[in-house]
Amino acid sequence: MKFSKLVVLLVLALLAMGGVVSVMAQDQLPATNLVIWSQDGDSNNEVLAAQFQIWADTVAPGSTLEIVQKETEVLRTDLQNAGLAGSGLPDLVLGPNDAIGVFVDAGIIQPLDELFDVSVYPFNLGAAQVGGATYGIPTNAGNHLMLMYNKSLVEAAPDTWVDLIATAKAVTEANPEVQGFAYNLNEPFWFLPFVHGFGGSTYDADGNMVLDSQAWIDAYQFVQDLKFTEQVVPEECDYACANDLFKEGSVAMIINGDWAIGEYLDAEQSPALGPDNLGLAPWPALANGNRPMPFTAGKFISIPVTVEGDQLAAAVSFVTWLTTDPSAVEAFALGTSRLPAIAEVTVDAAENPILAESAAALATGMGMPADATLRCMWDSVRPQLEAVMSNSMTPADAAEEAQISAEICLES
Amino acid sequence: MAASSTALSPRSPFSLQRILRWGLYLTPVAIFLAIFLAVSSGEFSGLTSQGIIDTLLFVVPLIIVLLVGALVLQFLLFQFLDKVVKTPHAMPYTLLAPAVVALVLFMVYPLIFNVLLAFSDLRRETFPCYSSVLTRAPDLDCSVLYSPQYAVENFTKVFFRVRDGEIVRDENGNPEFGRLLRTRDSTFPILLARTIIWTLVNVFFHVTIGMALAMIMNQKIRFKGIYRSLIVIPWAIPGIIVYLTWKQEFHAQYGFVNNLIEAFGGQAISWLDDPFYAFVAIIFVNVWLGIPFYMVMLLGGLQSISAEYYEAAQMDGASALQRFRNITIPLLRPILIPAITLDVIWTFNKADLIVAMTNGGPSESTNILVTGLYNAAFGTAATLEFGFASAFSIIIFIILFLFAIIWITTSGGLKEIYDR
Repeated sequence: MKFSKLVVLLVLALLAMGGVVSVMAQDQLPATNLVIWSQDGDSNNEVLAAQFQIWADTVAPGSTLEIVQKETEVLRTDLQNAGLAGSGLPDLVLGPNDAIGVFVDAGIIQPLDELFDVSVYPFNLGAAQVGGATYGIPTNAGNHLMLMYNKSLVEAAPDTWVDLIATAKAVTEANPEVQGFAYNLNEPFWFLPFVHGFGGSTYDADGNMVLDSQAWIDAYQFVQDLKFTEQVVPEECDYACANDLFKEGSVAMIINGDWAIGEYLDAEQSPALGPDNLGLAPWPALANGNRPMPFTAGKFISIPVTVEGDQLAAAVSFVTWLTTDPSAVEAFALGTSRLPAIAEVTVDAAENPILAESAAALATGMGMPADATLRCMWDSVRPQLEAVMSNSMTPADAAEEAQISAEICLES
Repeated sequence: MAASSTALSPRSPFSLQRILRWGLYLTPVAIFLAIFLAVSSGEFSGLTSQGIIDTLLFVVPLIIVLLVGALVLQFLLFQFLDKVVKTPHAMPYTLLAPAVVALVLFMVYPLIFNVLLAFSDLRRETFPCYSSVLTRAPDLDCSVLYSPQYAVENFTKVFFRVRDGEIVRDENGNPEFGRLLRTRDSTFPILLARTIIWTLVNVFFHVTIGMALAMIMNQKIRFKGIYRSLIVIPWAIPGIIVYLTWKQEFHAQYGFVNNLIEAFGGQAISWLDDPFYAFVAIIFVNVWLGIPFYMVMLLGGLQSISAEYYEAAQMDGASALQRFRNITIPLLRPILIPAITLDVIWTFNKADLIVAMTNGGPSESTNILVTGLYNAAFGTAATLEFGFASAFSIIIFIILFLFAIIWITTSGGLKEIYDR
């Protein structure tokens, strides 16, 4: 076993011990069986299960946590359907903030301001607040997209898009089997940072949805040029394509989110990467000097309205410990390769260079609102972006169409 | 000679029948052993062993209770029909009862419930009105849950753009068609037109290629069994695997289809990124999938046509085309018409292939009516407007119902059955 691994294990063990000591201070609760629907990946869910065990052994011996993994859209749909059916809702929901507004609209999750001390989460609580009430407790800060590169193919992260394009072409020229750059081409979440970089946004100063400003047109033009003029991205590429090619070393640089870092650090899952080859960086700067700004938020735990009594007490106790106890927060952050959501825990760049790089990328992002109307933007932009990326629509027409589509969406 | 016939007889320890029979016996044992080993090792596809045991402890007694309960109920029903009602058909009624109950539970009740939903205002924002557990916002009016007014609005929204309960009109005063999804091409008339094209093209190729292959297979050719097995392979593979495999093969850069095109000097095509080629790709896959059905059906039909008809026609000087038109087609009609009816209905409703391969994209350009309905009700752009979705599904049902009635009555495909 390598010395560095021993150190990491030792640190985790110490943190776990610290967590045990701190949870011992809490009141005892009756044994409870909790169910959590998690949008997180398997390896992160294993960390969550381990953390729960530490909490349960001390605070509520005999308690169990059943983790049901669900993909983002499946979780959103299933939770709404279970709420409508009136049964089958879990005790906890762990996922990104973008569905929180939808769940609040449907009356599925409960406000948490009176159950938690929300003042201890200074970074991203706004992403889980609707109408002034808090509906999600952050387990971490982030969920941000950033530039990721394979150090064995690219020596240093490009600082501008001009550099990136040149680097990508050079990589492919040197290794014809390797694609220089790839990302989830048709997904608006990957597109929106460009809009922000060109000075645009989803809402204007009056709160109206504006999807046809010059910044939107410029952003459509930019991504279209990346594909058809510069030809530095694959002809077709979705999330799985970019992710798989990067893991096997067939792509030198990609844009992806912090949720994938753990997977990329694992040499078994990502043979071409691992801690030695993975590099993270903020988005390269555009010609106007601005960096594309990804939406930032994090992962949040919400509690459905059906949870009450002992279940609620146990859920609140566990989530409070998981998200506020410094040892627990650090163990969870280290285990999932994510950034902590409380000020008491900071990332040491020397000990965790990858997390430090992720934090630097996070600093270039902008907070994502939890407004349910945001879905009208995602849903209206997606088909237009697909049309732009198949060269069957001009950027100006795409922006105009997206605006009309969003207005019709908002009518309902 | 005797020894050889013994070895080939069904009683031989290595006969095909015995191997198949033992295979059938051993398969469940192997599955049981695999599950046992997986459970004892603690993990099974991400489920914990305790989870599997808990599920089995719940499911197995439930099945036993249901079976015993059904038997008891059937016995009581028989006693009631026989002793109280004193009908001479007590036994057939009793035996039919489970099927009737299943039909009512799984066909009639969902159908009625679907119609009821079309009379509701059920959408995400009104979920709390229809749920016993969800939190109602103070300003949410839940006084009327079902009303004809809701039905009128739901059915209107399938065709027209509705704002504040009124149909939106353009500058000429004409009603604007409503977008069922997000693009201007997602209106009902465009989706219906695309569905009709999709159905006609698919059924045309199914029938023609299926017929051609059936006629080839009906000839005396060598290795017929091998060809037949190869042709029915699409049937043997689970649908979702077929769809996802073809999706990969149509990838512009890494797919086999473009590799083949480029090997022959052609230019790669963005199959799934281009609206036209994406539509071609899904049609190709569905044609590939549908051919075995026709080939098997029509081959059975061709083999039932007596060779005497062809011999007599040949003696009268009929050409091959005349024999096909005047003998083959009329005698295949009792098979062909129901097959086409079923194929039209299946193709019209073929949502799984499109959802798996393109999910209606790019730019919602490969959506047909049912995938439009699916995406409007449950897809990524869904607003969970179940009242509207139910109205939409009823419209699709009516279209298919009318088609089936008109097609069956005008084609005379079921004439033989009715005449019996």
